Amino acid sequence: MLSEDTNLSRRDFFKELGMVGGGGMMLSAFPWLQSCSADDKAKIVKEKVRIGFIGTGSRGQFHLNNLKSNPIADVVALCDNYPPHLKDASAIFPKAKRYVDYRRLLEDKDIQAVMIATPLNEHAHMTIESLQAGKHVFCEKSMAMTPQDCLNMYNTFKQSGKVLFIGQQRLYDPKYVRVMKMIHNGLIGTICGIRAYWFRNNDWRRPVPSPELERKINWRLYKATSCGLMTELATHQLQVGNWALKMIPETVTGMGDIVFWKDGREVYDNVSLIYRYSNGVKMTYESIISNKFYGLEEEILGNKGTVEPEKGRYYFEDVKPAPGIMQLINQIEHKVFDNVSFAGPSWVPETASINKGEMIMDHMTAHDGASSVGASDDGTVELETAFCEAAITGKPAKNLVEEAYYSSVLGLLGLQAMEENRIVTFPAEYKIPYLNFA
Amino acid sequence: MKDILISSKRQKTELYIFAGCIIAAFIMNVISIIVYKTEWSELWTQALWMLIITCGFYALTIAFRILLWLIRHLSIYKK
Repeated sequence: MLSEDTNLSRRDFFKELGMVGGGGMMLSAFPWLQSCSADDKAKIVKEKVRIGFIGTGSRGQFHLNNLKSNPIADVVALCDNYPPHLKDASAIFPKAKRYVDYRRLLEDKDIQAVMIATPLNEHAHMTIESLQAGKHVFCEKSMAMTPQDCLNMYNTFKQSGKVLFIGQQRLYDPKYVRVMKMIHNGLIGTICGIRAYWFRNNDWRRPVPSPELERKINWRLYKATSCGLMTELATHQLQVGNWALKMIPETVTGMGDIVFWKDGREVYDNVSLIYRYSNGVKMTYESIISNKFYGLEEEILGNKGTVEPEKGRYYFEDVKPAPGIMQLINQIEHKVFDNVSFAGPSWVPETASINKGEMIMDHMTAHDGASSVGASDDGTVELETAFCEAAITGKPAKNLVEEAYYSSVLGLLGLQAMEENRIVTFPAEYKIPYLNFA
Repeated sequence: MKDILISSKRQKTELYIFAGCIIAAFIMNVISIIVYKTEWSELWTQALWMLIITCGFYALTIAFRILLWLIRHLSIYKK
């Protein structure tokens, strides 16, 4: 049964999910994947959503290049207050109108939806103003710089009746959806712990043409515009932990420092945190950007097995024993040689059992997490397509914003715990009706 | 170069010994399946290991027979 399950191609997998064809039993477990039914898809097949794109830097251009080949997307306007980026984006969509002020773009009645890929400090007010202007919104993760701003975004979304997507692409990554299905079906038993980490070895800097542009270009490194590793990397992985456990942590503590890149930056380059869930399970989180050996992963540990979604592998605790004949030979070998006193108590080498695990699915792409812009086949294209479909139909993706909200707030609470050097409890005023607060 | 002649009796003897080795390896495989409670499909999936063990047993019989021949030869020489 399992091997049959794991031998699905990516396309087959989405067929099974009902994203390409009919419905499936998995849909109830992943409601955001059914934001567009098969009937809706048939109705909108010849439609295109008219998009205004705000923030055309590296991540923005990554989205624009994807949208260029998306048959239901039409980027009709571009906005950036940094001319070189706007010029680069115009090369991708030459017919799109150009704006320097996003408010002028929002006044454009021709635009149905906006996509926001600006620095973090711009997310909240741009998203709120866009929703209030009657636009459907896709905003890059993380949601905002404070829990209150995240909540304001969430409340505005709920009141507006418009579509809001946050760039949590793992929610659409086939590997992750498959892993969550396995976990929720009890394949690895009871989850006892989660170890998440993201390691890179680069300074996170972009080239700056002149010194006065330092804070504009390298906004990720300064507290006025960024919360550093917690909002740029951790939010993705914190969401995976909540997704697996179907709950949010109660408390968090941790430490953060600038250990290696002492180049005038203000955000940590080295963080280590512990998130504790109400059932006692801990999710440890670590991010270092001066060593890339271990890359990125979320190791989800159950009493029956372990999954590593980034690598796309799972491992059972009890591995199939060696063939009987091999066990017999091994035992004879030990009986004969173990008592020979030669170079110590025994010179017979112990052969360690190496559990290489099984693939979650065929034809998948694993990433080392080194790119600051985006990786191919990580669910981003599926997320963009789902947003376009939702913007055309006007039907929001169920629970997607809620998942993103909690991961954003948890990242910020982690930062607070590190900065105040204490254990932070999830504040009741930031709990929304989702997961264990339904 | 001189032709090496192996008598039909010798060939038969060697075949019997090799067949005995195959049976011994097979029994060893059956016992290990029972003792270690592994799958009966190992009777054929572990055929390569059985063949290797058969060859090992056969090599042991050769070594044993050479040893016997040496002991016998030495005792004759002493007399």
